[in-house]
Amino acid sequence: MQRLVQGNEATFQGAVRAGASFYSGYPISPSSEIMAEAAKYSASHPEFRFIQTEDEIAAAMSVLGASLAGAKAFTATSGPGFSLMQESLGMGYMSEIPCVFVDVQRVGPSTGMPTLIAQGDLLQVQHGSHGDYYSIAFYPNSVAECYTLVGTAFNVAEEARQPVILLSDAHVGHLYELVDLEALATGVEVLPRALAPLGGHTRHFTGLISDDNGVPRTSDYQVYRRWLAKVKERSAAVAAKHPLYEYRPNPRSATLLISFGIISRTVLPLTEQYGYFRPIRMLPVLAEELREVAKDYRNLVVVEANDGQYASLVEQALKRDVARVPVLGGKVSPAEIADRLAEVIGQA
Amino acid sequence: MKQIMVSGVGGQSVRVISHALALALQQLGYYVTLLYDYDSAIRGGKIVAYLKFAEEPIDNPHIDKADILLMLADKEKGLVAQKTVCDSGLCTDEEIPFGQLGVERFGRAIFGNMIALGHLLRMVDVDIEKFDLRKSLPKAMQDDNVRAVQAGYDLNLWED
Repeated sequence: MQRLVQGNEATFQGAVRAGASFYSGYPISPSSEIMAEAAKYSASHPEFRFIQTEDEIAAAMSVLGASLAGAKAFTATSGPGFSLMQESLGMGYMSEIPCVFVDVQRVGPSTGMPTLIAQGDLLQVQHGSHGDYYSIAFYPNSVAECYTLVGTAFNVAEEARQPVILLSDAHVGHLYELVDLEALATGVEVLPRALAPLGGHTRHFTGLISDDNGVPRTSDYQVYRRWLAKVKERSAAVAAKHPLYEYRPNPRSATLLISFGIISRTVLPLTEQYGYFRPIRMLPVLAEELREVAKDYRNLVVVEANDGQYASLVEQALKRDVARVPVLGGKVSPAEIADRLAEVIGQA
Repeated sequence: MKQIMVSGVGGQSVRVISHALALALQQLGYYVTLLYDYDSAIRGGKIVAYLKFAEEPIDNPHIDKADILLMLADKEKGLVAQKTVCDSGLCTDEEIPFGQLGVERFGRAIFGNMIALGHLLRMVDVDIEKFDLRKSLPKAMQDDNVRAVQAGYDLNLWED
């Protein structure tokens, strides 16, 4: 049955459908409803464990611990909290721990504009922790997709044995739409846990580079190189199974709009004038798919709620100039975007 | 497609009004999107609800210019609408003393918000008899709220 559901609520329900049984978090706008849903759900479902931790560092570390203990685990946060979680994410990549982090983006840096929409964490998702690692991130643009994509994120985490990021934003998270979650649930594939839970044997888990038995090997470059090659290959192979995007061609136009998250909804009415490409898998960048689509257009314009982060990734991937229409300060005006687009295309 | 904005400050039931309207429209079979912009302050901070409804799926939930703006406070500047209905002293289009009516009819100014919801339902041409109003309203004080919504819906009739 269809009902009015908020994006953040759908994200939580989708995680449960995907098999999540542990949530830890610290409240922060605009992600707090996910935590509120977790608290409420755990009260009537004792098999689902919920912890409100003292801060986001503890929340992220609890997720890693819960995953190692056998639970499909996740947390949700926003900009400042996501910054605090970067060290834990690094440990998740190093220790190959499947888990899901939801980042409902708001205007930053720092506390910035806590309730307003932004999409400025993309590069942080890619490179926020230190060292080399290979992020996989998805980004819904509707309430229904919040539900289904968090399931994809959990499955990919299991298969790739790494943290996976579900990006969202203040408007996707707070958007209410009519959806039938039960109907959506039937289409969600749920992968089983990849890791046997701890408890049956002794194993040392650490952020240090370790050999296959979990023994730290902190001065053996060959162990490190083998490890990095392994996780790189596995991450790329799993991501390649999910080349998710939406493309609406426009043979009459020389311009391709590239947009994602809530802004991709704002520009949808412009598809009569322009081609439209919406990456759903944000990272790794859909380089081949973009290259194939972009060859039919003279102008590429990324419309995003930051100062050109995805545009720079597209430029890097396609080795082409990409124009930018930044939507800044949490103000989303369809008319302003249309005007800025006309200006930018006029200059191209 | 119709586009509605409801603006006010925290504590004025902007969320309750817009959510109730969305639930009413859902019962009538419309596609609905509802989005909020609000300030960090819990009380006294601005809040705007953007509601669209249509007989077909809605692509873009954002609104530049609404068909109707219900203004309960004037903290958010620059909202543009074809028609603005506001509480006393907030606009020059159509002023209705919702708070005062709440006091006069139901003993508390807060009922002015349910009166405003009733008036909004009338303005968007929704037949209040064709859906279950109680399913759209919060459970607390529901009998009084139903009466207040009905009063707002019949507002023009009183004036006659």
